[in-house]
Parts: sequence; C-alpha cells; structure tokens
Amino acid sequence: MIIGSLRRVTRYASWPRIRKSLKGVPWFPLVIMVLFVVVGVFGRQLAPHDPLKIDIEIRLLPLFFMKGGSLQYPLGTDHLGRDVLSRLIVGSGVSLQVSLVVIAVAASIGALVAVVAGYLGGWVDTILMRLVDIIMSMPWIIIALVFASIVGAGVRNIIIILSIFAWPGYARVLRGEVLRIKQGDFVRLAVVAGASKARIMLRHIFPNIVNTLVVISTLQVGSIILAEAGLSFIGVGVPPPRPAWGAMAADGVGYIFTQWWLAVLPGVAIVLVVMSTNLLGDWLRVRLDPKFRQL
Amino acid sequence: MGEILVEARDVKKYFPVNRGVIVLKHLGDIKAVDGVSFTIGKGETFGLVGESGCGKTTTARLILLLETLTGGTIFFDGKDTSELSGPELRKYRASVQAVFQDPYSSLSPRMRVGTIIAEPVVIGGAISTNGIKDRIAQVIKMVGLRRDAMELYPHEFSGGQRQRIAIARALASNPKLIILDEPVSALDVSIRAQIMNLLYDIQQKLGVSYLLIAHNLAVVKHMSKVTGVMYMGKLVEVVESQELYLHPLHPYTQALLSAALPSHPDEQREEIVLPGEVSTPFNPPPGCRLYRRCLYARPVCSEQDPPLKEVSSGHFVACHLH
Repeated sequence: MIIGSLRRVTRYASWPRIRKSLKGVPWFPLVIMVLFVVVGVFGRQLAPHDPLKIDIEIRLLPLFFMKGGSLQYPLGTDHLGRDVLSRLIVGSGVSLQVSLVVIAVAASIGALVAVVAGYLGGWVDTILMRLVDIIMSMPWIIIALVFASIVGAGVRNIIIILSIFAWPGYARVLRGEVLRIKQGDFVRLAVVAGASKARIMLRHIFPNIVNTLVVISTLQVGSIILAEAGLSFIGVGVPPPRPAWGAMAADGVGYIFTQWWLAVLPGVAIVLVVMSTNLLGDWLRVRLDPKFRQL
Repeated sequence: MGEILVEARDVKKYFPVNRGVIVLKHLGDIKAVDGVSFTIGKGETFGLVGESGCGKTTTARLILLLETLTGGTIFFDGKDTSELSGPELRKYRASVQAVFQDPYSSLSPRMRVGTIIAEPVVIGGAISTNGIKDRIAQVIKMVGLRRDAMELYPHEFSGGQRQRIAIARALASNPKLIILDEPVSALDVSIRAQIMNLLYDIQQKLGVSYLLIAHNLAVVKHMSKVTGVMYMGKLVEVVESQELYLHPLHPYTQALLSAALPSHPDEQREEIVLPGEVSTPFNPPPGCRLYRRCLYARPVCSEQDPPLKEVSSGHFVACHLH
C-alpha cells in the first residue's frame, strides 16, 4: 500500500507530468502567490532595511520617482522614518502565517464536523449544527475585541479567534454536500459490502467533498487576510512595532491627503494577494475534478 | 426446485408517518412490503415484477440489510438474517452483493476502478494483497473489460462499461446471491441484451443465485426460473416464468402482461386497462388491494384479503376468483 502510493507519487512528480498538470494555469495570480509565499517565508532575509529601525530625519520620504524620493528607500518611509518596502515584505509573513494556520485548523474541524454530522444524522447532527448556528450568529469582531483585551493582542490569539469563527462556515456548506453524497448508490453499496461507518466517511464521503473544501479554503484565504488586516487596523491584531499590512494601512490613514501611498500600498498588497487566491482557487477547482483531469 | 438459498417468510416493512416536531403523533404506516413470502433456490433466478412503488426495491433492500424488518423473517442458508452479527454478518455481507439501476451513481467518482472492485474483498479480509490483485484481474476478465481498466476512474467509461464494473465488483467477493435491481433499465437498448447475456453466462459458470427486479417483462421471462408479481406491497402471483406468461391467473398479472409490447408489431392483442389510479399503500383498507380497480371484483374482495394459495402445482395466486 505505502510502496504503491510512493511509486504513484514519483510517477506523478516526473517533469513532463508537472508541466502537463500546470497547463492552463493562470500565470499572473500564480506569480503573485509564489512571490507572496517566498517573501512571507524569507521576509527578514529579503528586506533591504531593518523594518523596525526608526529614523526621524528621513520620515515621510515619497516614492522613488517622486521629487525628493531616493532609490535607497524605493517605496518611501513612514511617519517614523521606517522603510515601507521592508515593512511590506516582513508584514506579508504575518498574513501568510495567519491565513495558512487558520485555514488548516478551520478546514480540518469544519470537514470533520460536516462529515460526522451529515453522515450520522440524528441527535449528533442536531447538536453540532446548532453549535454552528450559535457561533455564526455571534458578532466576531466584538468577541475578538473582548478576547484581545483579556488575553492580549498577538498573532497566536488572532489565529485562535479567527479559527473559532471560520470553521462553522466550512461545516455548514460541506454538510450539505455530505447529505447529497450519502444518497448515492455507491455509499449504499459500500454498506452492502460490509464497510464500517468510519470507512464510509473516510473513503467514500470525504474524498467527494475535497473539491468543495478546496474552493472554500481559497475563498477563505482572502477573507482571513482581510480579517487579520481588519483586526490589526482597529488595533487588536498584531501589536506594534511588528509590521502587518492592516496596521500599516491604519497608520497611513492619517496621511491620506499628503502621503497617500502609505495607506494605498499595503491596500494594494492585500488586494493582489486576495484576488490571486480567488483566481487560483477557481483554477484548482476545475483541475481537481476527475472529470476534467486527463492524466 | 433444488436447494433453497433464501427464504422470505411473511416479510413486512412499514414506514411510519408521523406529525409533530417534538411530540410525534403517529398517523399511520406506509405498508411498503406487507407479508411477502418467497424462496430463491441455489443457482436460480427469482424474478420480481410490478409497477413503480409496489415494494420490489424495498424487498431487495431488506435482504441487503439496508432496512430493518418490521415483521417476518428472512432466512439465508438456513440462518435468520436479523440475528447475524460479528464474523457471521461479515460472511453474509460477502455472500450477498448487489447491482443497482444507475451505473453513474453506483461507482464512487474518486476511486479507481480497481479499488472499487476490490472493496468487498478488502473489507472481507482473509485474502493477501496479491490474492486480491489476482481476483480483480479475474473478475475484470470475466465481465469483459480490459485489464488496464483497473487504473482508470469511472468517468472514463460508458454506461454499459460502468455496469460491467458494477457487476465485477459484485462478483469479486464470490457471493452466493446477487440482487439485480433493474440492472439494465438505465442502459441503452442496444447494450441491454449484452449485459443480460453476461449475467446469464456468469450464473451458468458460477452457480450464483439472482434476485432480479425489473420492469421489462421479457427480461424477467428470459432470465428467471420463477417469477413473482407484486402489487402494493403484496405478492399476488408466484409461478414458474413460462407458466406465468402462458396462463396468468391474477387479474393484475393479466393486465400487466397485456401492457407489455408484443414481440412483433403486427401481433393483434387485447389490451386490458385497469380503471382508476393506484391507491396509496398508506393505511390501506381491508380486503384485496386491487379491489377498486379489478374488473372481476366481488363483495368478498372488499372484506377479506385473499391469501396466496397454491391453485395448481407450483402456481400460487392471491385472488378470491381462484
């Protein structure tokens, strides 16, 4: 079994196959995403300056092509004289980390709850879905504010609070899928073959919701990044001076009429990344469907 | 009749109809299957015909243990199926398989064909990985598919081929009984004969028993030794298939046969049309189920439910006329 799947992986990993599987990939979003991930992981090594270094003498430098700009600080400096480019680069790490961890946690919990509730039905279903309703009806931003004021702001706390509010969305949509899939004759035939409930959920139900799971996840990347930026914007996210896109935009708002780029640049970064995840997710959805796969 | 494999004795399945959210009020029952008895011999085919909603599929699902019995007993190889558990249940699962009507819904879209076919064997345990591989290759050959089909996904096959895959899966665990629930209804007319012949050949070779459920009377006549006619949850006539077509005794059977297309377009036949609609099996009134539609109804028909009785050797009819 293990050797077989290893062999399958190595066969899949050959170069012509990779090239073929990338056929039709939307290049622009892919480049943005690769850039986002690389910069997010190696941000501290790539940043030209220390993102935390304050130098009041060079505060509010404009973009490099504007009057008074310099190539040493191509995207200018903020109100404390910190290099904007470096802060953008390092700030992407926060967005990457938060979105990946939150998606992983929320998708796992959501898929588990959806499969168990949808397949078993009965009181298990009722209890889990009422829990979903309760969480979805709570105002997450207010709870996040309260939570942050009790345990303090920080990346870990953002991840916890966003995970709690992200999984019910998965659970609700995926449960509907499970209800549809379990009506299929192949599930009935699995029962006839003597498959246990666990086996049916794992081998028959779960593989058929992966598609939807991926689509929701890619759409969620955008909203998680936005949520993190929003929390940082209102000051309960990443604590200063650590750079985060949302906090940078918040800092820049005060200078919107004079140094507009301070707020616009992090905004553009957020828009590019969110848009790219959505486009890539759409492509991935088509690719993952075996009906479209011709390998 | 030779040795008996399956015996259904007074099998009943009622679906309760309730109203209310927390405090349920029992309004009555839908009597999907209401006291059905029949036997299936080893290596033989028992045909089950009747219109949609008459309880054929529910009967099949009861044998497959997909539904629990409301009453009666089903014996398999002399054992009460409702009392099976543990290793005995697993053995039963391996010996009873099914092929369903829709070959598009009966194969998991995200599994390779080899995995789909192997599943009943894998769950049954007891065979080594190599043994399973050989077994899959064997059944794939038996149903006439190419060997490399194992590596592909179901969507790469046509409807007829998919049904062959479903049959291969049903054969993999070497079952004694295969439930064929409308195995060709969803297929192209040109493919139907192929699949039916395949099933027939497999039975000749392996000696497996079939419970064949079908709308198409010609198919049942061709395949099955004994045929049962169902109407609203009851068996109204059970007899050897040839005899059923030559001398149908129950008024419903006569109407059903006259509704089938003749084998030749010029053939002149009288068509019997039953008046009215099929009434619902929800809280049916006493008496014969066909009472309101029967051309020969008599007062006794509305009072007493006619039992299934043997009117001549091997010919069972549930009708007050006989």
